[in-house]
Amino acid sequence: MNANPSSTTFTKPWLWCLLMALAIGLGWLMQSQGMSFYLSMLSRMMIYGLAACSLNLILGYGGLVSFGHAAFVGIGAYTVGILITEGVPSGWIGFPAAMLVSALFAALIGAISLRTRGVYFIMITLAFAQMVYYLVNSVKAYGGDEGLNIRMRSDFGFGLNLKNDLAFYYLVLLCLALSLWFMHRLMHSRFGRVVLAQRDDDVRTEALGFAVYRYQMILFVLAGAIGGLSGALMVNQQNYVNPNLMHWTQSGVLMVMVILGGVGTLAGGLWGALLLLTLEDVFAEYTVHWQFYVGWILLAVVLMAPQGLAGLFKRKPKGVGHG
Amino acid sequence: MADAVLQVKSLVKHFGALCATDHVSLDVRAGEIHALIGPNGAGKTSLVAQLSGLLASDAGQVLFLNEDITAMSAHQRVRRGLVRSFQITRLFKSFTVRDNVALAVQARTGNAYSFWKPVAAERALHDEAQAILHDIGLAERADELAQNLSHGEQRVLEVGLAMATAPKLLLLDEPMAGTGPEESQRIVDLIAGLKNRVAILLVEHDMEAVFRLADRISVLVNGAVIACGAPHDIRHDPMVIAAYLGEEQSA
Repeated sequence: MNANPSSTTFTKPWLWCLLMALAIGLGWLMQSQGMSFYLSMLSRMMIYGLAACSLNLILGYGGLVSFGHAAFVGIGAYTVGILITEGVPSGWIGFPAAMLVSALFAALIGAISLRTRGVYFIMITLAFAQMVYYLVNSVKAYGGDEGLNIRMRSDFGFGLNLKNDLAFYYLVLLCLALSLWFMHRLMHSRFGRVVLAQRDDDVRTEALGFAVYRYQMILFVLAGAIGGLSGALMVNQQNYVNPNLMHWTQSGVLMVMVILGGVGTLAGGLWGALLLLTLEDVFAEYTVHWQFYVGWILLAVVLMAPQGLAGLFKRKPKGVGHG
Repeated sequence: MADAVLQVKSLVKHFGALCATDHVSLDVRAGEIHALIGPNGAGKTSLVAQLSGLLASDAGQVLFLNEDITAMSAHQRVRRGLVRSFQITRLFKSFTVRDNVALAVQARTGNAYSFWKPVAAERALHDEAQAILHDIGLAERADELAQNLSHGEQRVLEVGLAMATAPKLLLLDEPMAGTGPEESQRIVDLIAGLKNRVAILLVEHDMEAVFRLADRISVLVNGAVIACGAPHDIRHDPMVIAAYLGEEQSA
């Protein structure tokens, strides 16, 4: 039986296994060559990639343009940060807690936002995220606008020290791989098919007997939870979290990553994050006006590869004469 | 009226000062094709939207299988067997034809929230979809994307999607809209084949098709039902001729 073409992003298991092996090998190589700076940069890119992929779940697969996704990333980061500050450094508690708290916020925000459509949905998710941003800014107990420093990184036991760049890199890689695998299974399940259907036409989906709102809610909450996971990793990498992580411009950055990489493709957010952050780092070497040049490149990608990077490698579906 | 599948009692819908649905009462009996005709702007589309739960009613009552469904959402009505098709084709255009139907079959079978098992591997779902496609004459187009179908084929699939949910009552909203003579013949045959399997409320502009298919006809003008009866009676009803049929013949 052939899979749904709209959800098939040229997924070949062996290709993913190869990529995974490469990523594992690359980390080991970088560490052994003393390139820990680049290793940590790569970790950062993959964390952003995970955040962008989780946004892609709602934005790309769900067709719901959420403009407040950074809030869930930030909430995840603060959950871990606050737990460590309060003397609960265990990652086995912190990471699930980050996902849970982000999921709860997503449920709250989604319950109201998903009653609106189109530009109203964009604005209301943006408004909620800004509310969270200002709320965190005002909580002086956890640093307020100065941010929150953490004394130590999350502790997973088993002699795993997250201060070690390679160990941290592998943790990020594991979280990313598991999340992508989960999202892949999700989008190919019955649930995923309804999600894709409501993206095509929500009224028709409702008219076939699906409670569209409920499906959208579940999707929104799952995306929030995975966003929270990326936040948990982020605070661990930077030993620090600051309300700016939740600012609406951060939501915009995640969105740009998704668009660059490929809207509605499994790993689009990851490719977009790799490209955007690489461009940033490269141009920032030469000029303080790097954003100007990065902007031109974004424009070029959007114009010449409207389906993003993933679209460039995507085989055209059979039987389609155009598009 | 023990055998009425659908009973509409004095249903009302206002849009500002405009009364789109003006105390409409009608019923659809088991196994019958009940046609709803009326000039443009008569309120047919509003009525279908109200009956399917996509548009809230201001007053009145809708009973389906003797259950009050007036306040129910669209998906709850579908679960009970009240299913509509759309005047403007609404397919899942990025899905294959088979996956369109499989989705409709999925809506009424098995686990509603399955997050992990690949749906493409569900043999029963796809076999059933294939059987339905065979029924409506689209079996050979199963692997085509819905957006690549011809207009006539899309109209057939539109009705097929509604059928695949195994309805007890079909609301067909202008199933022949925009089709040529050959295509509309195909849809007339399709609807004729559904007769006695499912009750149908047929909203249609094509009078030839209506008089061929319908057991009873209701005429809607300015939001109100002005006549209801057998095709023969409706054809000769002076009020209907004045309000609607005459206008068509003179045009």
